[in-house]
Amino acid sequence: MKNRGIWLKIFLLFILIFNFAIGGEININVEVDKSDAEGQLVNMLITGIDNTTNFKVFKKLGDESQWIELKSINKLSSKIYIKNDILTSLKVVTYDDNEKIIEEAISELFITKAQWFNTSRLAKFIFLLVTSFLILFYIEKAKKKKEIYLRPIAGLKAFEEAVGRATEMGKSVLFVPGIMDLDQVETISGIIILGYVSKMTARYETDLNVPVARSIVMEAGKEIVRESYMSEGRPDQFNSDMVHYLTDDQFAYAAGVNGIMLREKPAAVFMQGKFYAESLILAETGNSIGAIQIAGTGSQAQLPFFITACDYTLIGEEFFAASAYLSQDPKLLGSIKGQDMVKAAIMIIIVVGVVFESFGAEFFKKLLG
Amino acid sequence: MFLKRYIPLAIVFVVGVTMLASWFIPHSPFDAFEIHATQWFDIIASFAMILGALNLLKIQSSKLIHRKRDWQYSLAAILGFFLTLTFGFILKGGHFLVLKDVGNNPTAVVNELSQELQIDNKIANNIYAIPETGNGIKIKKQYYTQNKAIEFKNRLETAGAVVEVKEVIWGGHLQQNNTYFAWIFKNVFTPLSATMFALLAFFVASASYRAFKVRNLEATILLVAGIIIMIGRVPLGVFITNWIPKTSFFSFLRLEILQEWIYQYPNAAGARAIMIGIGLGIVGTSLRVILGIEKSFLGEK
Repeated sequence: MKNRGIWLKIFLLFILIFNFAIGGEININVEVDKSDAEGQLVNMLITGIDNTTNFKVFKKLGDESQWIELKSINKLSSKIYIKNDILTSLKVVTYDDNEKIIEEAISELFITKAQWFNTSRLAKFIFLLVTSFLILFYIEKAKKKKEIYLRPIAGLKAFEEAVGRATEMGKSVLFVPGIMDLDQVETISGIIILGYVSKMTARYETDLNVPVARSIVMEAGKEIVRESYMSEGRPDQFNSDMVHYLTDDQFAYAAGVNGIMLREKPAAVFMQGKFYAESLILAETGNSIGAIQIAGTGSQAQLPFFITACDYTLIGEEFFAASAYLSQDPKLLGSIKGQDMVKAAIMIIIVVGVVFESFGAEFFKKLLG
Repeated sequence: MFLKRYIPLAIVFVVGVTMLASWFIPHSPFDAFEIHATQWFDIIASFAMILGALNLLKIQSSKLIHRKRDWQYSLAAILGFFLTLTFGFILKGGHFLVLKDVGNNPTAVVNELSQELQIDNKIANNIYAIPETGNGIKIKKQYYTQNKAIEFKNRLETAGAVVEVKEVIWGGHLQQNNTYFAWIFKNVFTPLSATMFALLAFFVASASYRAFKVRNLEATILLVAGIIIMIGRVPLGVFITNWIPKTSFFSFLRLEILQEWIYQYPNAAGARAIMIGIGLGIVGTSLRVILGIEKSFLGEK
């Protein structure tokens, strides 16, 4: 693709030089840039005039009768974005000092089209296919195998301990599912974990308090907690106000949750979801009331705060593996095994890449795009 | 069961696969799918906001009515809710004047304007003492109440000007000065948010104190690395090790170089390892959700 671009530039330069040499008529050439997967890019070249000439470029889309000025074009050679799938033409008009038209030229009609596959993302596509294949392969394998070993994760083991402690102390369990909406994978993971925690609180007949920052999360949370209480045979213990809305605003939410912590003094605090700057405010307040705290997030920047202030922290992939670990469902465990295989492959690629880079061989880097 | 189980799973599968495909296919109709999906989500979230507001009112009202413990906070929450709602939908403020004509005595009008707007006479003259434009010139001061605006209007009319009182449009009152909504935002919401944010400084101090306690080898390494980074990033750090020549073999011991190395290499290596794990976790979870392997978020085992 790069070579194609170079040849195109040489060709356009040649036309430019040739035109100056023979002093030809004004002309506007347009070529659709095929290297742009989104298809909207065209290369425009005006010949027959030089940079000192006063000129303007116009475009006409489809059946429109009016020419629209492209005010940003002030060079004889430019890249222009044109709407896809519409027959378009460009026009160049030159003016004298009194803004009187001297001459004009109209390009041939052209059309830009998006490609059916973005080739610049081929490496990512292959990675996605391989990852998906490995995960699905190990899920299928897990269905046949009875037991799959998953290394013990201290934070997940402590879930039961934390709820048990709250039960013994006669205090509530506070679950914070982050501040983002259900369009974030972390929030979905947090809600899935809420399902398991609420099963434990149902089993132990412990109060559960879930303040949320988004209405959709509230509805999803209510549904999952209700199902957990039903599945544990304790629908009488379920109260729809367990999952309640506070506010959408980040710091107002932090203030609200802190207020709940300081007033109700829960014995166990779970912070599982997507967090930003409020993470430390919440975790430190939880620490100050002496609650056992288990945090889990995929927000890399917040992990140090949670590790410092909480008793247990599910770091990144551990947080996403929580569902499989807690359910012990072979299909979910299989997917974790598949993830681990991908991780092993990545580690090998990194080591090989480091070796090649160290010896100055760049083909491996190019191969991976 | 069909509606509750299979329909949501089918929707998740179709939307998930289409969203994934749209990232690789720039061709229509996939190119606009992400934008449309985001807009659909925003629309649903906006309506869902009503559910949230009702839930908030229900819980706080219940606390207030039954005089449960700390009911005073619920009263504050309910008052705050309705006050903001009133300023958003009922009372807007933001009354302003439009100067239609300066009349026969422009100097007197300009004097009044410079006094009211607390600007220099010359500036007021340049802005306002110009020929009538038809729509008039908006005077750059807004008033919460109409009475205040009329008061100033009377003064200007006494000076000979032709003035009209107007009010900011609905929607515009959310962003303009001297509206009730802007007042509550600027004087209540912003300081409260800033206060919460400012608490972070103290929490960082207390958390750092605990993290940097010398308990074991790892904590000691953390402490040393933390101190090098902290000192190396301020001018004092540069000053302390300034005596080490930049060109010497030991130049790496200069704090500003050492902290940069810690930040760029050991720190970046650890952070990237975590990022790879997070990325794989997201891919794995997304696949499980899209393929219907993970159904517990729908309330199923």
